[in-house]
Amino acid sequence: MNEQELGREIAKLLDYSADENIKQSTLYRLQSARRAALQNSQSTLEIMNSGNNTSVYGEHDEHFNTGKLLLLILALFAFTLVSATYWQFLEKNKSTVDTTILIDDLSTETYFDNESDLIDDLLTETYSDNESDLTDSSPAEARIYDESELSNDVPTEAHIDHESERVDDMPIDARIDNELDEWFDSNK
Amino acid sequence: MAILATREELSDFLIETERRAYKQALFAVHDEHAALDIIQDSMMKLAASYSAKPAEELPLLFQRILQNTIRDYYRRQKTRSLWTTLFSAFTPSDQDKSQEDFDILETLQIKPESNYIKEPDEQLERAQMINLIEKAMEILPARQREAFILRYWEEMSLAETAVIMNCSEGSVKTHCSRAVHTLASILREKGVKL
Repeated sequence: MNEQELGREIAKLLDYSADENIKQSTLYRLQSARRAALQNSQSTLEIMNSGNNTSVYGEHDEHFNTGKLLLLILALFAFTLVSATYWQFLEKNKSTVDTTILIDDLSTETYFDNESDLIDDLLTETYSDNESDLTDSSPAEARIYDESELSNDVPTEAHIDHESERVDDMPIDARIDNELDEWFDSNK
Repeated sequence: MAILATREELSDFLIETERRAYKQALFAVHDEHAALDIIQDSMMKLAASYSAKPAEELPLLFQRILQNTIRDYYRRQKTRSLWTTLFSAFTPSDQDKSQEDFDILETLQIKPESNYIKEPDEQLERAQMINLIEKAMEILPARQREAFILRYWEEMSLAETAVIMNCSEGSVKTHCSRAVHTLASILREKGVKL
């Protein structure tokens, strides 16, 4: 007899043992334990709701309606509270929406340095922008930047050099004419 | 979709399992009252927590609960044994104990339901063999007994047994093999040949 057959044979004998070799009092207690367990299971299942206004065993559960109603009231209350708060928030911020948007566009450094001036500057700039938009196709800021770029690109020494070069580049006749004009003006 | 166990299915399962489970607990704890407590606890736990599970999952769950409850009993015994040795003088005498153990239900006759053995000598021989096997089962190491019962008595697969015992399938095979060899050698020593 191999291992598995021997195991099964012993298991068969254990089955007989379980069927016959248990005292009546033990069987009675086992039965009591089983009943208690099943009662426990029934009471547990009654709490669980199937969602169709009935318990698992199909019995009407009064607590389900109350709970559902309470949940609904709570949900409505929460919705009202949230919507009221949101409406208040919207009303409060309605007048300052434009300013808020402009301030939000600025960087934090400028915000801390000179807040009021910057706001004023911004407002005037926007006005000038609008005006320039109406008159010219190019914006005022762009023109200012272009000018500053032109002026800043050339250093001061270079400016002087350019002027002297211009004077040097003039022809001698013209220089004499200029000197004569200056002399006449002084003798007048 | 798994169909949840009805109350009748749960009841049928418990009726089918309770005797084997009781024996299983008895082999483990060697005490009838403790074994009954373990079975009741296991049944309560199953009914309270897993009665909404599909019927086919119940054997696995029940065996797992049973094994855990037996382990809990061992742990509690370890703690209690310390106090019982300290206060051993307060334990009742044997005479009191014998009176305490008397139960009127034990005087009732068991209904002779089994009819597979007709001859009295065969019945006696079978009873002796069962007695031997039960004693051998009590001697077996806990893990070997657990593996043997789950595999051969409860007819569970290797995977299921491994899940319940919280070990690998290889370990289950080893435990089963050792259990069968030990039981066979015990029976051989007593002159029993299966």
